[in-house]
Amino acid sequence: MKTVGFLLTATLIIILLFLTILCSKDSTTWTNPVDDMKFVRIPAGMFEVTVKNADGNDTLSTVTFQKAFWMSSTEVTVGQFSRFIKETNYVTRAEKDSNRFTWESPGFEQSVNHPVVFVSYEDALAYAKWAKVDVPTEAEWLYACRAGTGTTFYWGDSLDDNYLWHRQNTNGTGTQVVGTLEPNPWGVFNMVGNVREYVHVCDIRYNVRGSSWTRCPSYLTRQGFVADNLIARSVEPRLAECAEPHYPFTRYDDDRGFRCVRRSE
Amino acid sequence: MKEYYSRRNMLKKSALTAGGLCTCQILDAFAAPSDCCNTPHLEPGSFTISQDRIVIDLAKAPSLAEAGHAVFISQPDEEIELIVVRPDKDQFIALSRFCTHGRQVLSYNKHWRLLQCNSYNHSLFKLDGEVYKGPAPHPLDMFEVEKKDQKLTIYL
Repeated sequence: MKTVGFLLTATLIIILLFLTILCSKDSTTWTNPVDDMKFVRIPAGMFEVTVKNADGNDTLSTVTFQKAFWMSSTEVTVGQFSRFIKETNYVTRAEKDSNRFTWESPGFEQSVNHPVVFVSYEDALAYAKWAKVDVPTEAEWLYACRAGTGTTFYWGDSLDDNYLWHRQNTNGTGTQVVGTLEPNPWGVFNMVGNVREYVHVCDIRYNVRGSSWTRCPSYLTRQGFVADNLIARSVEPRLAECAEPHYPFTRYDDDRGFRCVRRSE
Repeated sequence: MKEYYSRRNMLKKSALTAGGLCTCQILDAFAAPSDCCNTPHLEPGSFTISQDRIVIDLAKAPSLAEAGHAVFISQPDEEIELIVVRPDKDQFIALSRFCTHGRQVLSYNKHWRLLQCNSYNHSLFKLDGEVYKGPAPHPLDMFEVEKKDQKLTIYL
């Protein structure tokens, strides 16, 4: 009897341990049942950004996130976008324009696991609405990208091919499968490189952040100098101004995509 | 030619101060074969310029030795700004080296056999100079090319 009791207790402990591990896993990731996108938990916290003050001068400001939120660990893929199109019969801006290239035929080969491109900001918003999530704000995106680090990039201060896809390590031939290379400390992949990502700026405009596969790490310009800081600028902790002239919501390109955010703990 | 050398030296000097990755890539632009971001300048001494033509001695131009290579010929004082591309072993093409949108320099993408602007909007051009993709408003200027033995003549 004693042995049976011991075995039962041991089994119970093992089950409890297993459940604890499962629960702890659940608290750091969430999968959207609409599109099967995996999200990672971005902890509450704060970070410093540069903003323009009323006098038009740069000033440091602190952005605080009182609550944790969720950021998709990868960009939205061709497969996920395809599901959205099938379920809603949505027509993207590039298709409405009869553009030569569209999300289905961007001019280079893409599998269902590549990031969707040739989508406009309005297309991204439509997708996010369907998936019952949102496109991140610029502050959310920057906070999730930096992941508590204080360096230029989340891996350090110089470019590192272990973390980003750019024009040279892709041979300039197109996007790469999402979730490849190393993630940031919070488990978010490809915040830099692969595709530039749409972010909300106020409610009246958007921005694209994070550089892309089309961007050269450095190159000679016509003037003869080297522009090697453009990728760094794409993740600079600086918030765009609401008043700046905004681009139409209808632009698209072969290096523009997006990821989603979920604002509940 | 003096202008070319001084520009080259200045760039090399900047490159040395830039350090790390940047340094390698800038120097590559002068030494290594072209890649999707950088295009080397044609070796000084491998070409001559007269009023209406440029003659390249291919035997003295290792940067154009193989299919897939591309080089710049830049003589701003003489308003000569070309990219010479060797897409195939026996094919040479000469075009303006500046994007018609934003006027940045071009690179040759040998995987796509297209020319690509180095600027953010990265317009693409076909080898006949026509716009393939992007916001570039006009095709690239193209120049007649003739190859005889090891001499490549570009008619300006």
